Amino acid sequence: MDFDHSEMDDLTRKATDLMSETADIGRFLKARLGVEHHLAQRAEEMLLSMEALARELRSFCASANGDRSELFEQI
Amino acid sequence: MTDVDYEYLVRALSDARSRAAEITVSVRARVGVEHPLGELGNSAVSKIELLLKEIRKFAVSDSETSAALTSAPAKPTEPIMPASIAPAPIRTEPMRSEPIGRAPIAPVPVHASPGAPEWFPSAGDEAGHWLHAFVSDVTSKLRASGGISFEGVEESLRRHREAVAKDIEIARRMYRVYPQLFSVEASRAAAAGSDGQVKGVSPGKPDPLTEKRNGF
Repeated sequence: MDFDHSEMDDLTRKATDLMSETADIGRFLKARLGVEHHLAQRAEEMLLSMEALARELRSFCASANGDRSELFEQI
Repeated sequence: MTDVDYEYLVRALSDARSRAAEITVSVRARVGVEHPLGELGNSAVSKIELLLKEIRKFAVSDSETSAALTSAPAKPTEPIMPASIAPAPIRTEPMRSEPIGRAPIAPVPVHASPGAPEWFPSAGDEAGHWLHAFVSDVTSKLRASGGISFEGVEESLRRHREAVAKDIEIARRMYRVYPQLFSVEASRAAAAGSDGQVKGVSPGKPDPLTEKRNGF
């Protein structure tokens, strides 16, 4: 797949930052409304979704960077 | 939660939604629309939107509950008619001996949210006027979402207008069925020298509009 790796790394960093900030929202809602409140649970679902995106982006970039290293080694 | 809390949440989530959407679009542009990363991004955006929507809804219901608690009378008397009588089933139970002027005539029906009791105004109670409810409705929506469209305000106004029209119809029906209640109320108002009675309805006489409609 042909794409700019530095851009993907940048997007991965942005997704990780966003994940940290959405975690703050979840903590805030839990502190205000309690863990059992449906809004706190929705926030938890949102955080899990953000974590999945950030994790898969990291994994994707790591594998792409690995492929690139192998390619350089072969060259 | 306070208004400041809601403002923080709505602002933070709106920002998160924009950033997540931007990341998703960028990722899809690089790895292709079919790639699972794009779907993960879409899922994250929709989860953020869902939470934002529920927080707005919760903020509106929370503010309405608070408003109802502050505007309800200290010692609320039992309403004569239930709030959910939109097509107005007529009560068949015996007449109350309680003076009607002391009790709220009926709770504000359709336009009030369920579980947020409001009361018809007594004479001079500006807070019970439909305009007050309409403005509160619009401002609470504005506070919750950080913005409101002209269509939103128009829709809210339409709902309040319909609610007032239904209230008038219920009042007329009550007048037809229980004219003696209005006589008591009117004589009480006349004795107090106030002009707080229903416009166009004179005590002991049928409502002119009703007369016309009934072909009298």
